[in-house]
Amino acid sequence: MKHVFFLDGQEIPFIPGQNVLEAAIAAGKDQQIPYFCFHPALGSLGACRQCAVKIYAHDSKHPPRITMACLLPASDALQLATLEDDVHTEHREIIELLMTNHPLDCPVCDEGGQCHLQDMTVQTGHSVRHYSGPKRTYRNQDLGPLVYQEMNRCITCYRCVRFYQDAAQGEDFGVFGSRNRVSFGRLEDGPLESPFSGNLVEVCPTGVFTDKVFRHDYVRVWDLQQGPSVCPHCAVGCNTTPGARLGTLRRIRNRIRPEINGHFLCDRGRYAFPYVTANSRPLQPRLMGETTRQDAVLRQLASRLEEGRSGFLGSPREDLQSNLGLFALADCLHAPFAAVTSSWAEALAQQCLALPQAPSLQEVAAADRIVVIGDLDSIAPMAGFAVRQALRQGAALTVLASSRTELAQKGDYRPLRPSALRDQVAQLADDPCLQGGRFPVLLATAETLGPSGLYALRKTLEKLPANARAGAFVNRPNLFGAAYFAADGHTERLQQALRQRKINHLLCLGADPLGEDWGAGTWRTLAPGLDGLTLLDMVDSETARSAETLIPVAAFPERAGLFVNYEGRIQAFSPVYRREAQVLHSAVHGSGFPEAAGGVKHPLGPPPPLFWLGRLAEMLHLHEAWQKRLDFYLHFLCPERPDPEGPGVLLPDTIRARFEIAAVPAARAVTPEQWELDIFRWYGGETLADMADELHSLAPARGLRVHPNVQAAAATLHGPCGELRLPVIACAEMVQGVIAIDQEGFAELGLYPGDPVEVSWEQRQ
Amino acid sequence: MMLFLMALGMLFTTLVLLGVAGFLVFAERRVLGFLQNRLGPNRLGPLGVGQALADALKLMSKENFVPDFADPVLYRAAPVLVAFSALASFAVVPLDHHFSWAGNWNIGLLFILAMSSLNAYGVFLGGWASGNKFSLLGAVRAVAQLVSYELPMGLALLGVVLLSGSLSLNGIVAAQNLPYIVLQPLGFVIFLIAGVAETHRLPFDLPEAESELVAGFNTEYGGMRFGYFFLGEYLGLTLIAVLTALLYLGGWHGPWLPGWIWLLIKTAALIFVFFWLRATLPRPRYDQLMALGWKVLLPLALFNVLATALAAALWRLA
Amino acid sequence: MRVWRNISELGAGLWTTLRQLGRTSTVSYPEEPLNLPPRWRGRPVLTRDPDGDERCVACQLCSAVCPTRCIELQAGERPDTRRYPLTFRINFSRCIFCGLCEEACPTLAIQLLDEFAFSKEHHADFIYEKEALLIDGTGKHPHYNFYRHSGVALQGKDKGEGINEKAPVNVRSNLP
Ligand code: SF4
Ligand code: SF4
Ligand code: SF4
Ligand code: SF4
Ligand code: FES
Repeated sequence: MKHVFFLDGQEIPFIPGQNVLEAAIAAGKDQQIPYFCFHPALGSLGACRQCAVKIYAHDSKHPPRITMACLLPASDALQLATLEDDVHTEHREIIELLMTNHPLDCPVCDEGGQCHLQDMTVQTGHSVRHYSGPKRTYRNQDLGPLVYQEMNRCITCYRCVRFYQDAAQGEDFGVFGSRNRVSFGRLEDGPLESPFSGNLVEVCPTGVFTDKVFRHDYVRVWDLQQGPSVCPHCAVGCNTTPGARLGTLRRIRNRIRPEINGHFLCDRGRYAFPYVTANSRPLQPRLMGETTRQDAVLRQLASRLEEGRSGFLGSPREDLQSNLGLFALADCLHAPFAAVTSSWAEALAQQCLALPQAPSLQEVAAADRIVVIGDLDSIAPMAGFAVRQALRQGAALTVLASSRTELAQKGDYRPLRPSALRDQVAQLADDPCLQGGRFPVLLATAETLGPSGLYALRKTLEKLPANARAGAFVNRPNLFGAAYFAADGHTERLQQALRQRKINHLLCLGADPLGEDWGAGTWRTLAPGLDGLTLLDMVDSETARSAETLIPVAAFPERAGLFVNYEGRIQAFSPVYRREAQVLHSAVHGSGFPEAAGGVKHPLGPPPPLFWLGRLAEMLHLHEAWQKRLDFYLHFLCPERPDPEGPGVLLPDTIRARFEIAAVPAARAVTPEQWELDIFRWYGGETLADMADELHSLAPARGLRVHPNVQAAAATLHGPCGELRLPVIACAEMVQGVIAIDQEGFAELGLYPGDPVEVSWEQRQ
Repeated sequence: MMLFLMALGMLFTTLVLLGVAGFLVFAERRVLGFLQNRLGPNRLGPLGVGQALADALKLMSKENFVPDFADPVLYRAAPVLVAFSALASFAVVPLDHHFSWAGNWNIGLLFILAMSSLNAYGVFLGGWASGNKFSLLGAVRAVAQLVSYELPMGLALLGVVLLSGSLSLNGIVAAQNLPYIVLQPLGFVIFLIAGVAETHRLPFDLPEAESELVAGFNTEYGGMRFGYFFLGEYLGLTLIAVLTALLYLGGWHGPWLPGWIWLLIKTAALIFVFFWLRATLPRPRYDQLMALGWKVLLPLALFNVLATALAAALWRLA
Repeated sequence: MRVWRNISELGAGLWTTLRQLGRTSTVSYPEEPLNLPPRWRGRPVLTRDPDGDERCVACQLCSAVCPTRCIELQAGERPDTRRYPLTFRINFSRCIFCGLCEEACPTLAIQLLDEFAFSKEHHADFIYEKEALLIDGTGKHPHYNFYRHSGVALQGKDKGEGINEKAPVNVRSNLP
């Protein structure tokens, strides 16, 4: 049955359980009911008293009365009115009261032009303030490099606390003071700790919280070029709306995608974009350290490839088409190709794919038994956010990890060494933490668990009820895409070819084999055998600095492409802007083109990888064959092209099934006396995100994290590929016997999470 | 020798008249400007007089263009005819009692009337030969208008002729002990109105009427051919002014100053009146123009002749 | 009667035109100086506030409202957190002197003053950059200073020091 109520005589359909305001907004009637404290993701509060409607009783005994639409459950045949004088008066007078102390700030307020308060004020017709007394003022707090506070503008809708404390479950933000002095902020000045703090900017209907990164290079929204894009900083693939002007990217906003990120984004997704404008970003082709022209570098590369002694290396950091383009080129040239940099990572990718269909974040939020393995927040913060939403609904959370993370504090925490983690996962099927649940969900950080752990997870899942789901997360946007053309042992074959001198040139796409990618230690030992390395990339990495030929490529918001997220959801993103010849660069970033050279020589900025690869194929007279292969692979993987505005398309299960038979390398055995390695990450850490100065200024210090019962100032780790000396950071949350280091450390040592390691401690003097 | 001197004199007269006409074009624009709170052309030369020269140069330097659809011979002849008839009329106009080419000619007045009829041919042929509907309409209007106003004009002149008993302009001026404007006020007014209509100047410029006929009979004309029409118009204007001065205002009679200066002053004043009329009055409809000619001026002119004749007879008797 | 009336009206008309002789409304600019009304809409300029600081806060309202889209600016931030236009350019070969920018400007920064006769040989010369637009004066409004009214703090103006403001509240107090 279709449910309707009547608003000004018009039928408004609703779903039972919705309130009147929600249904009216969904029906496009928000022009009639202004509101502030209601938020689709945060619900109703009834604090602002703005959303008045007039309700007519069904009988004639009760006179009509004014009530709040956001607190009125929608029910059938309800008779409501807004187009009446007393309702209008209420709207106008309430907004006048809210505006009593509002400063005259719009021209210097970053919210201006996208301000809910402005919109509502104009909509209700309040234009002259009758109150002429002095206005209340506040001192602002310094909330760190990401969020700017201007407390004078608050209208006390409480959306911010409701988001920060309830939805994001952050603890360092709240409401202070009493009566008309309430203020929203931290106890002390200091950066907001939640990985979701940036959402305050969008949640606040006024200009109290604004984007501090955007502030330094500000432009009004009406001048922004915006378009649909997908966040390239982890496997969740949140939908974003980048905004650019005059050829530079200025900000990232959330794009509502109920299945994935809903109304929110994590701070990595929102604040990592300055990698696009970073000074170090390569913008012109470099040959032996000298900038050159496009055709020169292409000619050189083509002649290199013609020699037939090249290997190809793709990357889970690059999008699907670019990887396929590289694969197709390798195929045409019968050259070895690998999509990931180490056999371990290859097995990891295959095991991730072999997992059955993962739950979407919307489904995670509806789970009632959740097991989180590893530090989820630091790999895929929005997945952690979905877990928090499930917690709000009363889900039971169990966290298996080697350190007591923020999420662990919210549920049942089981401290485990990484090696024990695998065994624990294997036994989870009979564990009480999953018993009795309606909808159990297991979420793992793939790297902590390792290939064998993921294999154990799959086996456990088979023993669990059929509706149990599992998902594995990495901080690469396209590992799941790159894995498809990761044939068994391809990385090994590529390295073997290098070792046997069959190839002496490597063409890498978005990979960092000499820097921080998995297995970099091995690559470094192989590097002397290389007679040249060509890199197509958009950031200045270790590999980029040592590559003979560096080819810059367009950043993700500057091009179209496809990412496959952790669910196997193929999502398209479209180009939002072009780097233009005339780039006004702000004093703060000092970025964009060098004034004299860049704008003129490179009017359109670097082209996408597919352009470079296509040109190469042309120069090698392979274009037709290359294009045919590319189209074929692409059609095989996604016969139906996703729409950038749509929810994407899920990979069919048949493709997953191919990976179930993949080999699993056995994990290295560890004895309890040995020190074990685990990976340490933080929520803002990721290759591209590391280039974002503001976000990166929050990064924790580099070091070796151990339980404080180790009395050492520094330690040297010994691995198969080298040694690494790091300062010791005592961390009370860590499990004893575990050492946590960052991915760069692993790359240097040539080890993987869960491996035993030899340590020599240096005592404090 | 005598002939050569005469030819030189005629050339000189012609040039002076052309100069006068050119100057009048400029003078009209400035006077109109002043009457309309504007300045008029004031950029070139002292007070802007250079404008007259500039306009002349511009017209002369333009291409002599004959449209395909025009009758080439008549198209070329018409402007010349107009300018010629106007110029020729001046042969009988005296500046002083002994300073004219044919001021003593005893049919001077008739000659002028004849020449003004010739002018009508010029206008008509020009309009017709252009092969353009606007030109033709303008030409037809011009002919009808000239014919209609020639009658009251001629009849008004009869009054003067009756009083003076002469058809030569010298004779008429000599006969004016009292300017005939006093004896013939009605005749003066009729002559003046008819004169404006004869030269088809505003407010009686219906043959050209830009708001309805583009430019009337001279729509297709440009360059110096158009210039001839223009000359014809301004010479006609001067002619009517100088005739009015001679016939009604006592010609060169006047105290202290030499006679020809008196004549110039009177003529100039009359020309100013024409400009003034142009600045003030709107153009009537064509039927109104015709009605004025046939239903008002003609009966009045007839009455004027009768009254004059009667008065003259009575005066003789007395 | 009718004839008389017509004739007298004719006379009145002639008299009316004759009276105009010697009066003129034409101003022979540039020989004679112009006396422009204060609301004359000439070339837009950027003015300064009474303290001599740039008025424009780079709010982009003028560029949004400009019907010919001839204003282009980029906001910047001064070390004292004050917003200002890093670049501000108007393309005067597109400007139609409609004055909408002046109407939209909340800080009275952009004002259409009296310059109107500026001709150039090349279109490119009509693109005026901020240096050419910013004048050393307050223009038509000698007293207004936006930052005295707005609620933001600046160097030299703390919270509560603006016009019509109370001292900052003590958020730690729970007194009624
Ligand atoms: S919050 Fe909105 S209304 Fe208030 S100053 Fe900012 S833009 Fe203006
Ligand atoms: S700071 Fe913003 S979100 Fe929070 S109560 Fe004030 S207006 Fe609402
Ligand atoms: S005057 Fe009009 S056209 Fe010119 S800059 Fe201002 S708004 Fe634009
Ligand atoms: S409207 Fe005024 S303050 Fe805003 S950018 Fe334009 S000139 Fe500057
Ligand atoms: S939105 Fe209903 S009271 Fe605030």
